[in-house]
Parts: sequence; C-alpha cells; structure tokens
Amino acid sequence: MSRLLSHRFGSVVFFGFTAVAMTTLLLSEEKQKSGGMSDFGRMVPEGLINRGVIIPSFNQEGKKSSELRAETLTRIDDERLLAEKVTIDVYAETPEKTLHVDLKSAVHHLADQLLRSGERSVITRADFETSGDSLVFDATTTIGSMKGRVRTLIFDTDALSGKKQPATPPKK
Amino acid sequence: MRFFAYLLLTQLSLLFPLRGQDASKIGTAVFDQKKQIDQATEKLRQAQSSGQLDQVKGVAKDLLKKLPSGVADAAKEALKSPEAKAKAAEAMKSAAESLLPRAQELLKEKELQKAALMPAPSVEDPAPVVEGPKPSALAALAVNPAKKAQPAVVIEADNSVFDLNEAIFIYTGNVRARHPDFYIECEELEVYMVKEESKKGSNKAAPKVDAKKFNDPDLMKKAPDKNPIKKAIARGPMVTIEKRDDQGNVQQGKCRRLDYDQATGDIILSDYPQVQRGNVLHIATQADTTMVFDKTGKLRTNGRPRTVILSDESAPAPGASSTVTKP
Repeated sequence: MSRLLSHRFGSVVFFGFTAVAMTTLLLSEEKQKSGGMSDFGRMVPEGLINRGVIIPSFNQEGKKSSELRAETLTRIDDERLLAEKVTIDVYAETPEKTLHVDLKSAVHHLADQLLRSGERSVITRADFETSGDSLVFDATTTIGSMKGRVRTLIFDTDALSGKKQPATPPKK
Repeated sequence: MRFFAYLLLTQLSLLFPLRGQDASKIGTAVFDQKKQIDQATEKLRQAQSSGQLDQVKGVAKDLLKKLPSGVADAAKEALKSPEAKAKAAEAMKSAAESLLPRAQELLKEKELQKAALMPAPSVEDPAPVVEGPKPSALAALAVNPAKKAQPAVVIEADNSVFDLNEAIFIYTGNVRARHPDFYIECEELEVYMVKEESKKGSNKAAPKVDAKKFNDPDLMKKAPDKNPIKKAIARGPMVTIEKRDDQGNVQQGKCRRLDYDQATGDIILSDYPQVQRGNVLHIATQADTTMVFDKTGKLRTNGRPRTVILSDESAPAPGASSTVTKP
C-alpha cells in the first residue's frame, strides 16, 4: 500500500515538474519573440538621444526583412521609444511589394512591438498610397489602422505599363 | 667720456692759434657759452627738484621700449662706434620695409572706400565679347507624361484598418470611393486588392492577344479586367452608388449591401435595393431581391421589383399619385 502511494506521489511530482518546466519554456520563448527595433531599444539608455539611427531586421533565413531609419531615437521609459522623422521599409520578394512607411514622429512600444503616431502618416507601395491623421502599425505583421481623414489612392500598375487602357472616370 | 674729451681738445686747439686781435672776441663768446651752460644747469637742477626731469626720463624710457629691439641696440652701438651707424641704418631700413606694406594697404582701403562712393567711370569702347560654349543644366530624360501613375481608385474615410500582407483594407465612417466605373458612398467598405502572386499567375495564364485585334473596342470590353481591386463590399444603412450606362446616362442605386467582383465586373445591390435612371425608379419589394449592374452599366434585376415612373413636375403634392406603378 505504501509502495503504491509513494509511486503515485512520485508520478504526480514528476508530471507537475514537467508541466511547470514546459510552461516556463513556452513563456520564455514568447518573450524572446522580438524584432530588431525591440532588441535595439532595450540597449538604449533612458533619456539618451540617438541621432541618425538605422535599424535593420532580418528574417530566419538571414535576409533583410525591414529597415527603420529615424533622425532621432530616444528612450522615454522602460517600455517606450520616441522616434522622429521615421521611415520604415518593409521588404518583400519583389521591389514592387516593398512597403514604405513615412512618419513625422512615432512611439514604439517594446512590449507589443507597435508603432504609434499621432501625426499624419503615409504608407506607400507601388500600387497604392494611404495616409491618415494617426497611425498604429505593426511592422512585423504589416497590420495597422489609421484614424482621421484617411485617404487611399490605388494605382493601376497595369495602366502604367500600358497593358490596359484607363477607363473614363465618372464626372462626380 | 671719449666724446667729451674729444670736444674739449678741439676747443683748446681752436683757442690756442687765435691768441692776438680776435682773442677778446672769442673770449666773450666762450664767456657767453659758459653763461648759457650755467643757465641750463640751473634749469636742470630746478627741473630735478620739481620732479619734471623724472617725468621726462620716464617718457623717454617708454619711447625706447616701443622702438624695435634692433633699432635700439644699433643706436646704442652707434654711440660707441661709428661703424655701427651702418648697422643702425640697415635696421631702420628693415623696420621701414616691414611697416610699408601695412601702410600701403591702409592707403588702398581708404582709396577703395572713396571709389565706392564715387560713380563708376563709363567705358566708351568695351572689349569684344567672345561667344563660346556656355555651361547649362542637363536636359531632362524623355519621360512620357501620359505614363505618370494616375490613381485608378480614390477612397476617403474617417478610419481604416488594413492588413497589407493580405491586401485587405476596411474603411469605416463617411466612406467615399471613386472608381473609373462608379462612385460609392457608404458607412463601411471592405476592399480586397489583387495580390502580386495572383497578378503574376493571371499574367502567365493570359493568352497572347494579336496586335491588330488589340485596338478593337469590342475586344477591349471582352478582355479580362486588370483592375487593382479584386473584390469590394460596401455596407451601411444607406449605400449609394452612381454608375453610367453604355449610353452615358447616370444611374443611381441605393441599398444596404453592395458587392463588387472584379472577375465578372458585376456590381450586386442587395437588401432592399432601388435604382433610378432618369424618371424611372426600380424598387425591390423583397429582401432577397437583387439588382445587378454589369460591366457596361446594364441593369438586371433578380426577384420581384416595383417600377415607378416619376412625373416631371418638380413639387408633387403630398399624397397625390404622380407616379405610375408597374408590378
């Protein structure tokens, strides 16, 4: 009886430790998910103004996935970085798909890796250009939102190359 | 001391041969000189007692300090030996040479200032101008202005959410979309853009078009649409669309949901749609009735509509039947 109890206790302890170890491992992996901006931001001392900053990011294959350029980059606190005159190029397989984000000023949150700007921002690609009064943008997933006077221009790249005749626009 | 001794000897040598008739005259001259020397010494004593001599000495020392070192040394040596006089003269010359350019510059500056105030003299016979190649800006590259990227679609809204990887844009709040084929106003608009991969695929699959047939207008109508928008869905309490028919007449449609599909080029109005062209108004009587604008602007209705022909009178009386209804 005592043997059975000790065996059960041992198995419970073993599975408990395994579960705790797995959870810790998963959490640590989740924490390690970070981009170039976050990695660089953690190294920047608080209050120090960095001028002419260029931060490239690379994918798992070692290919450059994006490049952030800022005229000034300052760490406000433990979680936020203030960047001024920011341009972000998110590279794609083809140059036509390369995204260009233009921001007058932006705050990068290290925890959620989001770039927030309260000033008019522009996102450009070969086939479209969208601008808005404020922007929240995740450079890793290229998901974002704009608020206030959003204006999108979608270009017909085929018309540019002469593949299609442009249709007559409506009068209104 | 040598100098004074030399002077005394010369005076004595002059006095000895003059003994005789003119001796008295010379004697009176010497007496006068003695008197003058006595007066001078008296004055010196007075100046020394009053302190004026010390002041003069100080001024003299300051002047000596201001003199170039070479000149002062040469002057001292000149007092000792006559050979050093030449050196002193050379030192004076070098000092003058060093100061002369500066003096000339100052003179030139003064002359320039005067010249600036004075009017320029007129030249009667100017030199002949030789015409040659002149530097100019490089000519711009031959860029065809017609090939400048023109926006095919313009969308304006209050807010937007986008996923650029998936090429999806969702606009909300006072949405206005201008497309070459139509104009839409709504509260929410979803735009699915053509992704680059699918574009490439469609280009590969597209058959080759004969150059002669390319200019045929009918063929252009039949050709697959290269519109950058793959699909669009407009929603809201009132979705308004304006689209021209093949004759150029404006058709205005209203509904609660609108779907645009690039593959077919159809615009489907659903959820109680209505379309007005001129004074003819088509109204859906059931929720599942749909009205479809095809690519050329022709209207097709699926379901049960009601057609109302509006009268031309501008202000019909309320309750008065000014319309003709066709079931």
